Amino acid sequence: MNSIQNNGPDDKALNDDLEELGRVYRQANLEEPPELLDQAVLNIAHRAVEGKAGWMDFGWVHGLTTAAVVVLALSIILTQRPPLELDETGFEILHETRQDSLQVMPVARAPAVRGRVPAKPQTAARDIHEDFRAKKVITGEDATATDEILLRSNAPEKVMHKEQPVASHADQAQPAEAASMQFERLEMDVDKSLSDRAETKRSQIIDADAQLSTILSLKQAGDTRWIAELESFIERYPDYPLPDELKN
Amino acid sequence: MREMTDEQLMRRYAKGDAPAFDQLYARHRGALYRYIKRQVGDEATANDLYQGVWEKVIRGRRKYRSTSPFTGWLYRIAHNHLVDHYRRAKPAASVDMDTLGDRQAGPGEQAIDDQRWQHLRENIAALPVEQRDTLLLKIEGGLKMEEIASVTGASRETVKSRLRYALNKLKRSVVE
Repeated sequence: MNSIQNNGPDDKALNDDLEELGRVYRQANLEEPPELLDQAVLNIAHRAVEGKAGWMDFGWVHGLTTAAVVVLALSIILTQRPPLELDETGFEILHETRQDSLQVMPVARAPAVRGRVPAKPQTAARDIHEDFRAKKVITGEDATATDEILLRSNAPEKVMHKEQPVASHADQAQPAEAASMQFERLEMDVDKSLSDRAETKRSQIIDADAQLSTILSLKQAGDTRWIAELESFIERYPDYPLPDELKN
Repeated sequence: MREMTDEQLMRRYAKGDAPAFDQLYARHRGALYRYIKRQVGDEATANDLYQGVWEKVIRGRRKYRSTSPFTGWLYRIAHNHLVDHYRRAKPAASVDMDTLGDRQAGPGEQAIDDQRWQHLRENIAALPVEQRDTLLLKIEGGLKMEEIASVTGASRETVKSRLRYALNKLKRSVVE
């Protein structure tokens, strides 16, 4: 056991000497640690593995459990949120509103609006709401949420009555709050969109009226360019009603 | 049934098998204790250091790599623990000669000449720290030269040299 690896005569002599010394040493020296010290060390060793073995050895199980709990909690939270259709419907309507506002003003409405610039964008917005209803863009249950937004912009007190059933239907305070926030955000977007559309409509009216005035001035001044201007106007606003002076 | 090696026992202990440690401890307790006791002399200090070494073994059970011999790992821990002790206990690096006589009487000791043992003990205690450490790693720990070199951080030739010097000094106490 105590032999030295033999690398030559020198090592062999060293090996022999050490063997002899070791033999004498071990015969004379049988000291051992006190029994109490043995017990102390063994107790420490046993406590170290018995106390923590389960936890340390199965640490990965705890990691997995934690991850599963997090995933479960997230899925519950996502499930409790308001349905996505609400958002999609809202944005769909917003998109259509913007598209619609870019279109040329309908003929039937032009005379009614003509000659008066809306004092408030809300007036035009209300008209657009009616357009939407007439076109039946909003149908079924989707219409309920959107209608609430549209009604709130005109009559907030009515919306208060309608919000209560939504909250009670959800049976959860947080989803109701989230839905309320969604409504408010959507409402702001719709208001902005409607204002933009009203502004566009107003500028179109002013533009058309200004052009007609110019054409009339040209005609009255005997300038023949009024014919070309009128053709251009009709091409641009085919449905816009012309004044009697220009009809012939 | 074939007896398990030290490495196997340590591996089992690291996995939570407490009785494996009991076996391992029984195999090494005497030699490790004497290795420490011969280095420091004082029994109380030796007891503290001895327990400290085993505590390090217990704490480091998961770091043990079974590819390296357990004995070498154990004595490396003991050696480093002693070096730390020497640094803390500066400049009292020498062994108290009187305390070396505090050995327990064993049944096999009757045949040993007390005077001869006294000489040997005193000469071991009088060795320079490095030579004494190297010698005790050899005769108590039973480490190979390469293992001693690894534990002490010296080259194999240095280990041999230290052993030769130590033996020359001790020969007189053995031969006389």
